[in-house]
Amino acid sequence: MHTAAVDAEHEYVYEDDFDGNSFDDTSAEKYTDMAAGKKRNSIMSQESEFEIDDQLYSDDDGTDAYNDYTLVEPLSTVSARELNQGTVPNLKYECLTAQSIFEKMVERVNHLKLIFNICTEDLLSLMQHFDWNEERLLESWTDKMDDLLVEIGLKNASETVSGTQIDASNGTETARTLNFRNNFSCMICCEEKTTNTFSLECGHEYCIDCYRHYVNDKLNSGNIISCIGCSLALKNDDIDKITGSPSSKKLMMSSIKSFVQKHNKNYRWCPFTDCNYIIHLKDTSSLDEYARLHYSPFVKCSDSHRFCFSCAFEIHAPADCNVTALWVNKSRKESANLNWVLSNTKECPKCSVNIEKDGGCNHMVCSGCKYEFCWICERDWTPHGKSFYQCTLYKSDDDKKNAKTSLEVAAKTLKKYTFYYKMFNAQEESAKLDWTLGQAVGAKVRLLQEKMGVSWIEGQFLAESVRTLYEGRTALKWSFAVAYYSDASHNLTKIFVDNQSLLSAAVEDLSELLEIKEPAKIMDRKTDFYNKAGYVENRTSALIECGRDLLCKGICKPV
Amino acid sequence: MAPPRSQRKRALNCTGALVAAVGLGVTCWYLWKNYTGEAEGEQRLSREEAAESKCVVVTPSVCDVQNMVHWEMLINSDQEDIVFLVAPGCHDRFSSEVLSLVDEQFKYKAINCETVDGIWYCVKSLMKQQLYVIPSEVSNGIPNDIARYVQDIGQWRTREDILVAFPV
Amino acid sequence: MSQRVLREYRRLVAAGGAANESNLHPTDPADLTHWEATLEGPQGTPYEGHSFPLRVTVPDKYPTLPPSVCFPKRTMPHPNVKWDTGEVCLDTLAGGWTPVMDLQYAVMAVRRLLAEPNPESPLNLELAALSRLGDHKAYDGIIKYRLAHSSIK
Repeated sequence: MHTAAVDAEHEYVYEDDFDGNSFDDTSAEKYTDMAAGKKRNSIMSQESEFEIDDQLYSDDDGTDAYNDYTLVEPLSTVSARELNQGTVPNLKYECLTAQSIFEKMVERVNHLKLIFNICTEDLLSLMQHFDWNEERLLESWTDKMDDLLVEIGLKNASETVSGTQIDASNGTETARTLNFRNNFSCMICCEEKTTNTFSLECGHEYCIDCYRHYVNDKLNSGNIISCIGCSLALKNDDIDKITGSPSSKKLMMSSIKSFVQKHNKNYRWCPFTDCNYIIHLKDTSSLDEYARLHYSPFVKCSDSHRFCFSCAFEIHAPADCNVTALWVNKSRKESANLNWVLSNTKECPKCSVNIEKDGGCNHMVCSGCKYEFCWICERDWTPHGKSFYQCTLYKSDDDKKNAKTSLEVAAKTLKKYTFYYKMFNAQEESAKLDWTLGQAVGAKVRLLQEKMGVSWIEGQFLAESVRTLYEGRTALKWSFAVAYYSDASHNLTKIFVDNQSLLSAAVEDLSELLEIKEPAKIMDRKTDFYNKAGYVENRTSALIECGRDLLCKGICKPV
Repeated sequence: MAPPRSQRKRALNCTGALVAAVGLGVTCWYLWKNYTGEAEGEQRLSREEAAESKCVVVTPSVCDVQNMVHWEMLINSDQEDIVFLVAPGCHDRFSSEVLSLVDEQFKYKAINCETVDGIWYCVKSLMKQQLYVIPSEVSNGIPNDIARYVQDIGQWRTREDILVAFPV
Repeated sequence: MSQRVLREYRRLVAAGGAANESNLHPTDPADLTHWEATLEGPQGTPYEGHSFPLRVTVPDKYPTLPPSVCFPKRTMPHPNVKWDTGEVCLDTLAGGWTPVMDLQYAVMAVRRLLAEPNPESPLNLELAALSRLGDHKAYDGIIKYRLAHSSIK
């Protein structure tokens, strides 16, 4: 069992010194502190100024979402970090594999043997037929008993009538084994050859090659395999005999897989490539309640892959599942129009030399003319270096004029969407590039450590920083989706955009550090890494909280 | 001076090359013609079907203008790509007033619908270019998604509008 | 499994026209991968009086895998046939196929489908909806329209 991690060491302390930068605009800071104070009643002591502001931000419709919900367990057992990341508090789930689910089923079957008087194998087939649903099986069994077995093909109809084998033409001695025959004429392949054959009690005999092809084809379906010529069922032993290998396991696995597929409310495959873990959520009733509060069910598999349970998609805080779905849908529709945005090579705005981006940092320096510009907006870098990050703010011109024709409205909406889509993609690309860069540098550092004799723990800072940077960029990326659907004129949106700028700046700073290629220099600037990573983490949490607030207050309206 | 044998050989080579080139050219032209011919043929088909193809929903007012418009003339014509979807309640009237004047081979152009939903499914299935309907005479009006299945919707409000679209 | 197809071909030829009412034959006897057949519209259906060509393709792994059967595009208005491509949705040709069935069985299954459409798995959504709605006049009307309209072209 795996509850949302209780991690007392990382309690959120909002009085951290960020990294020495001074800000002209402190409203963002203030906001995040207020948000922190409001919710963490049981963790932090409330100061008077927060109480006043609490009333300012109470919900219009009277229900105070923050204090209304009843959680199963008190907040104090949940780490502030988990709360900040937009996860559902106290989400209980377990991580399994297809094999472990199968073993659980086998256990159940062993229990059921007492009720049914059938061998384990047949019982397994029965369960397989009913999609591993015990209740349906029991219902059907009490209704039909032996007839059920005939229906599924586990028993020959003739057996139940008189209790003896009526069809004796093919004798039980030859059934369910490989028989060697000379000049056997197989009906399926119409070849006459000396070969092994296989048949069940029904007498339908075919050459082993045909049977093998047939069985191999049906292994992926997950259903009971029947005789080629009738509905009598092949048992797992027969399958193994025919294929000459333990293929019945494969059949069981594909049956379990289809079971997981059918029960996708409680079970989810880990969406990461080549990861075969399944997350099992026992109680899904609380999910609706949490969705109302705009929490997303983020889970982690045993391979440390984090993803959203509802969407089977990556972590998308601060956007909730609704916004995410709409955004993904929209981008799929518009992708044809916006392909140019995704180009990885651009020309220097001054000297038009081709530049290819190979790192996540958006601060570009042209190798030809040394012009410093921002990759995203292709404008001068100097304004970006200061506190206000020009890129992230969408300035819609012609705000005063009303769009006369529907065409104009459509053009404006498309322009706005293009802007946000561009930002979204820029962050996604940067995140990927950062990650690759990080891995490469990490390898170098490890090499250096071995030479310099630095302990492994000390060297973890780099991996941590890369991870923090990745999470920061992901949160920033999804914040653009939230911003697109938000009402730009509202004060809270402006604060949200401020938070975005701060996080952008923080992320670019950390990304720049990653670009240092020499491992010795990296070790020197270790403290910088720690500081900047910590700052990014804090700003990420703040942004996520602000985003959640936008959603709760209905300022962000996914439409 | 080159010996006559090699001269003849060279001439032979030249003619051989020329013949091969001509043969290749002819094959290419033939294949290209086949390829574009197929595409053209298909294009022709879809363009024909799309150009001016009409779908008319027959409601009481549509039957009323029979004296002036003479629907049977449109049905009886090979050149007109038009289909009539007869709403419930108008079957007998349309049949006696219009279809009785129509040749047997063209009677398929009139489809009787027993339900109103059926009319819209027919419209969606046929995908004609132009749809003519009087929304007020059809219960629940025009469905929202109908624009995906037709290009133009000629919405008539009165029977005079019909006469504008189909001049006497 | 070419032996098997060859055997089927021989059997069809030997049985003669009477047993092969759909005139199932390979397009080119030298290449047994592509076959053709002609289905007569069943009596009592709007398809009555019309003939429908059918194209059968035999895959390499036949008879483990089913043959693919389809109509030429825009010739068959039917709830389980996609109008624009001629693709047929039939369980016998997919999950319900077993190697004991043969090409003739497949063709006959399609013929049965003409007489008994399956509302559960429609490829022509509007026709299936008309059938579900119970508007038989409209259903028959659309089919007759399609058959008459395409034959004129």
